[in-house]
Formats: sequence, C-alpha cells, structure tokens
Amino acid sequence: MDKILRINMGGKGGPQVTETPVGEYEGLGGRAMTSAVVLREVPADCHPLGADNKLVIAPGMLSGTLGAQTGRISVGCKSPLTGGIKEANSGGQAAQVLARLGYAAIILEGKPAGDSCYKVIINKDGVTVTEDITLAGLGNYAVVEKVKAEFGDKVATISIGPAGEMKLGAASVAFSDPEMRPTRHAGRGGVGAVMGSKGVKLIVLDDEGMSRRQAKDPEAFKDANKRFVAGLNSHPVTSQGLPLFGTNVLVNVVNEAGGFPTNNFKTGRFENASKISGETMAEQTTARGGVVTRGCHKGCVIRCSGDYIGPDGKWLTKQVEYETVWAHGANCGIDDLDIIAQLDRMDDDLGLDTIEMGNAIAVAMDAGVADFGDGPAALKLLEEVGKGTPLGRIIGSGAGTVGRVFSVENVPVVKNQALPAYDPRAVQGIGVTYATSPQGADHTAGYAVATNLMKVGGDVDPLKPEGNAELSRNLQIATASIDASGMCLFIAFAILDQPETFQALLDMINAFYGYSWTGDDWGAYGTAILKNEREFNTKAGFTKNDDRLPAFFKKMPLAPHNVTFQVTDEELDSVFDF
Amino acid sequence: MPKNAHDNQNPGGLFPCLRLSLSRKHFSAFFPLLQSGCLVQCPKPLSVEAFLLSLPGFPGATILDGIQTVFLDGRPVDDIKAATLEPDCELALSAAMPGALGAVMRRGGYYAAMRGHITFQEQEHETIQGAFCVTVKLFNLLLSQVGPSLLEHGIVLGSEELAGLANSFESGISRLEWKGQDIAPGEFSSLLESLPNRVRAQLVFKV
Ligand code: SF4
Repeated sequence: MDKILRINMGGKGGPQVTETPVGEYEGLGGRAMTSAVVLREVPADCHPLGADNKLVIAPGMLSGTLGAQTGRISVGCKSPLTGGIKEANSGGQAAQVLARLGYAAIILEGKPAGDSCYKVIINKDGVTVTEDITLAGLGNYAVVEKVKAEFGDKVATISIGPAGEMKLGAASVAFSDPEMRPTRHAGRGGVGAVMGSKGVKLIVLDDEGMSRRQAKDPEAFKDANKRFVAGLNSHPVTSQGLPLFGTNVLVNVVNEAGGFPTNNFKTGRFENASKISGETMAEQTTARGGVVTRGCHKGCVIRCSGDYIGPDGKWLTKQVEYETVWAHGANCGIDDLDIIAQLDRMDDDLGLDTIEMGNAIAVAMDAGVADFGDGPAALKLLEEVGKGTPLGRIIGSGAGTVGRVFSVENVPVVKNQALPAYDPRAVQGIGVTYATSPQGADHTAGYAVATNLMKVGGDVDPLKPEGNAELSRNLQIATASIDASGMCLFIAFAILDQPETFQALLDMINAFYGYSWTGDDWGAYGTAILKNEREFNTKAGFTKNDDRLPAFFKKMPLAPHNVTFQVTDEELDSVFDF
Repeated sequence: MPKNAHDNQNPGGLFPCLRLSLSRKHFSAFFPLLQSGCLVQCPKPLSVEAFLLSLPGFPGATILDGIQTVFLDGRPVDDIKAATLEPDCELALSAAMPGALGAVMRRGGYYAAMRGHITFQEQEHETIQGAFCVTVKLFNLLLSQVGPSLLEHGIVLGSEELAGLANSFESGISRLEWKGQDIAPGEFSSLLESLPNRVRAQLVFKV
C-alpha cells in the first residue's frame, strides 16, 4: 500500500490515470485516509456533485494482510446528503484485494463532460478506464453477473446502481462479498451519488498474481493475530451471539428497552418485534435450508452475516441486518420478514442506503403517502425510486427531502442524514453521538467501546452529569481508530472486556508497521481523524447549531418510558472541547 | 392492604398442572412464545437471581454470568440480586449484546449512565403474600440456555393457546401427566378439549 491511484474523470481527451507515492498520507488507512484527503484536497464550499469533489476509496491499515477482521473499506467525500465530510464504511472483498494490489487509496477526481458510463479495471498489469454504455441503468446484481461472465468469480467489484447514476442523496456504493454478490454497501451520506457524478459505474479489482502484504516483523504479527483471534473466539458476543443470530439479535433487546423507534419514531416499542427478530430470522433461515453464519469478507472470524432464503426456498438476499430490519420493518410498521428482505434486496440492487430509505418511506407514510404497516406500498415506493419517477426521486433523496416536500414536522435527521435504529430519548448517551458526529446521525459513529481501556480523554466518571458528553467523545474517538484500521467494529466487545485482546490488536499494528503504539497513540490517531472532519465541516459552514437533534425529540415523550431527550445544548457543545 | 394472589388472578398460587415430556427436537416450537413472553408462577417475591436459581435444572453460575442484559418492566437492571419480582411484572433476559447499545444496556456496565433515566430503581414494596404470576421473556442465547428450565418450571397457558401450540409438538409427547395422573400420550387431543381455562404446563425435554 505504497501508492495512490488517481483517476481524473474530467481529463482532456478522457479519463487520466496517475499513480503517485503515498507520500504525506503515509501510515493512514481507511477513515484516516479518506478524511485527510477530503480535508486537504476538496474545497469545503464545492458542490458535492461537481468536479471539485473527490471520491476516496481506502482499505484499512491492516487490509490485505493475514490479519483477521481486516477487510473493511472506507469511502469518503463531501456528502451530497449532509453537505459535510463523509466516511461510509463497508465490508466485502475489495479492501483485501485493493490493498494486495498495493493501493492505499483510489481517488476519483474531476467530472466527465457528458453523461457517460465508465468501467475501471485494476490488476497487476495496471489500470484501464473504458466507456461501457452497456452497463448504464443496470442494477448492481446485473452488473456483477456481467463481470462474472467476463472475469470469472475471483475478482472483487465496486459498483453503483441506478440510484447512484441518478445521483440521489441516498445512493450507496456496493461491494461484492465472498460469494460475489453485491450485498455490502458503503451506504450512508450519498457516496454513490458522488461516484455517479464521476461517471464511474464499476471498478473491477483483480489481485491474481499479487501476494499478501508482509509485516515488518512477520513472526510477531502472526503471533499477535493468533492472540487476537483467540480473544474473538473466546468472547460470547463475538463467538456465539453474532454468528448465531447476526446483528438482528438486537431487535428484541432494543424493543424491550423501549428504544426501538416505531412508525416514524412515534413510540419505542413495536408490538410484533418478535416476528422480525434475529432469533426468528435464524430459525426461518435454517428451516428454509439456508446458512446462518457467513463473513462479509474472507478473513472474518466473527461472521455475523448469513443467507436470507425466500419463501420459494431460493436465496433472496444476505441475512438482513438489524438497521435494515428496523428501518424497513418497525419504523414503517411492517412485521413481515419476507417483505423486509425484498426491500433489502431492492436497496442492494438499486444501490441505496437501507437506513435512509426506511426513514424516507416512514416519513412518507407519516405524510399519508401510504399507511404504516403496508408492505406492498413500501415495495411500490422503492420501485418508483428505481424508475426515477418524480416521487421516486423525492424518496431516494432521503428522509429530510421527503419531510420538506410533504411538510412533515417530525423528521428524524441530523445534518440531513436519517437517524439509525435507537431512539435517542430512550438511550440519551447515544443521542449525544447522533447529534455531534461530524458524519450526521450515524449508528457506527460511537459503536466501539474500548475507551475505558484506552483512557482516551482521561478517566471518565459516568455518574457525573457531563458523563454522556465524555463517554460519547471517547466512543467516537475509538470508533474512528477502528474505522482506520480496517477492522470491523464488532471487535469492540472483545477488546473492551479482554485487555489482552486489545493488546493483541496494538501488537498487530506495531508488528506490521514497526511502530511502538500504546493505547494512547491509538486514541490520538482517532482524535486526529475527528479533528480533520470537524475542521472540514467548519469550513463548509457547519456550526454548533448543526450538532442538535430535531426539536421533537425534546418535546414528544416516547412510550413506554415517556421520556424526552434531556441532554442540554451546553453538554452537546462540550463533546468536542479538544 | 397487602397484595395477594387474587389481585393476580391466581387463586392459591396454583393452576392445575399438565406435565408433558417431549422430544428435544420440538423445543424450538416454543421459541416464539419464549421471545414474546410466558406467564410464569413465582412462589413469593424473589430477586431476579433467586428466581432464576430456583428454576429446575437451572445451569447455575456460568449461565447467570452470561445473562448480561436484564430488564424489569422494560427498565435495564444493574443488580439482579437486588431487583425483586412483583405481581404482574415483566422480566426479560438476554446475553451480552453487540454495539454501543449492547454496552449501554449491560448490567452494571461502564456505560450504564448513558441510559440512567430509564434504569430500574428498586422501590419500597407493599407486603406481598402467596404466589403470583410474572411474564418472562427470553432472547437469543438464553432461549436454549434458560428455556428448558423455565418450561420445566411451568408456563401458564390458556387452553386455546395450548391447543394452538399443540400441532407443533403433539407428535413428540412421550409422557403425559394431568394433575399428577399418568395418561396415555394418545389421549392428549381429547384431554385438550376438557381442560379448564388456564393450566400450568410443565414441559420436560428429553434428548
Ligand atoms: S463481523 Fe460481520 S460486519 Fe464484521 S467483518 Fe465479519 S461479517 Fe463483516
């Protein structure tokens, strides 16, 4: 990973490819890389869909190695949804393959003159960029089928669906999984629209003939990885809960806590939650002959994913994730797993963020466009998005746009990005993260929980009134570090509970790069990422007033606990006091 | 006035007991019920921990350690030795959960303050006499880890509810007892028709 690939899509005479040494970005991976490039190279006042914006695709620090869990990839740009900086994270095969090809990042720059549809092929012999109009308008599944026919099933793909080509605010970037299906998405913030604005429909990555990245100290790296894997395999969350039930295991628990937003955040309990739970989905998958445990990339040992088998006994989509089951399920009042799975499949094919789409449809339902609980109507609304009808484009532009067009008062967005699956009135500390994350409301922004080991920001007394701000800050820092490493955020439990597993992770980084990082260095790395992101947003015109939840969370009590969001603005403003 | 069994529609603390021995392969038929909540008799006010330890065949301390997420009436519980079951309360049990929410909801966890305003607080109790019913929900790993003990302890079912479930396990009945009397398993269907409104069904699973 010693070079950066730049493709100027607006070059005279067509796309221009250059390769530069990694230079000033040395040592950066994943989110650290994307956010640094966006801050330094993208004018904060540019139009997100214009020539000055850049789309940065970066594997993690440890991607392409034999390290477990290291196949996450970051996609960064100025977001067309939020107007601020964006890093959207995904699984899939691309991180490992891109890293083995030696690239620390692909940067798509400029903008082609007309509406064109390009395909980029990257292999050991170099890079080619060609116009391929036969790809235009295809769904991600059809695109990947064409790739299989041409290149076989050992390559990795990065693609956009029709939503990205239409440059919709909810458009995602799709990554192929180990079974070569486009099921993994950098979903949030409209990153697919930015790829669409560059005219790039497809990137094919072929690492045949390339070898694994080698650590500076291979023996120490191997040993640290062994200890790290042992830690993951011995922790009940990472060794049992997630593999058996997937992320959707959270449905019953969040519902029980009264924090499962239902019918566009009207109440915190969905009466049919058990019909859409991870437990029910796992039973159904087994009964229908599917596999409940798969990884989203080769090298994942937790393997929280699996199959979703349709009622006809055929593979329909990947095991539907918690955020999707919530967004398309409870938040729209839909309790039919088969319909939710169909919506997930359509999102993946059209190239849409499931969280944004579930929220957009729920807000439309609130406006009376359809009834809560009407699954067929939700499918129809998504079909409209695929067809690009005026209503479809409104829905595909996200919950904020739907709320404005249909004059809905209660629209659950922060920085115009829709909220994920925990109601901030029930879990106020998570609400702090939603409000203050530079990314807009983001469930992954404060997902990691290793901070008490790292002591980033000093020791925290969670019982102090300001505890929520401090905890949220530390969570966001830890998350940023994990996003940069290329590790999956689900390692967080094992490294929280088992100091030796956290040490093994640090040892992996140290053995690979020849560093001597401690927990403090790891924290400082995450802090630097957040500082970059905050700086970009400030230049783009964001103020502390953007670090707020919508007013209805402070006014409308949430059943069953009848609570409102009570964290003060002063507390929110203290999250980033570094 | 002390609360008693009658407040809880559970005269004498006992429903007539139907005991069924079933083949283990039928256990998962009870997952939906266990997830959405079973009515269970509690002999007297007990802490969550004491209640669990009183269940027949409860596997003990290792499983207790694994019950990392506990709710009483939807409120996350930090101390299962102190939180006490009362008539009509709802107890939900889960293993440790992933993600920030999982960390926040864990009992006694580092991030418990992030949900401080909904955390379960033990209140002063009225004196409660006799047995009463509570609703117990089991999630994820605990379905198979605690489910067998809870079902053997017995769940209170309406006769129609039991008839609805019967299809999924009837073929696996190896032994049937009604009010302490052995009955031929083949008589189960006709027994169903004569059952009172509510019974305590004790379900024992055999490998
Ligand atoms: S645990 Fe899940 S999300 Fe994480 S890398 Fe593995 S399959 Fe992907």
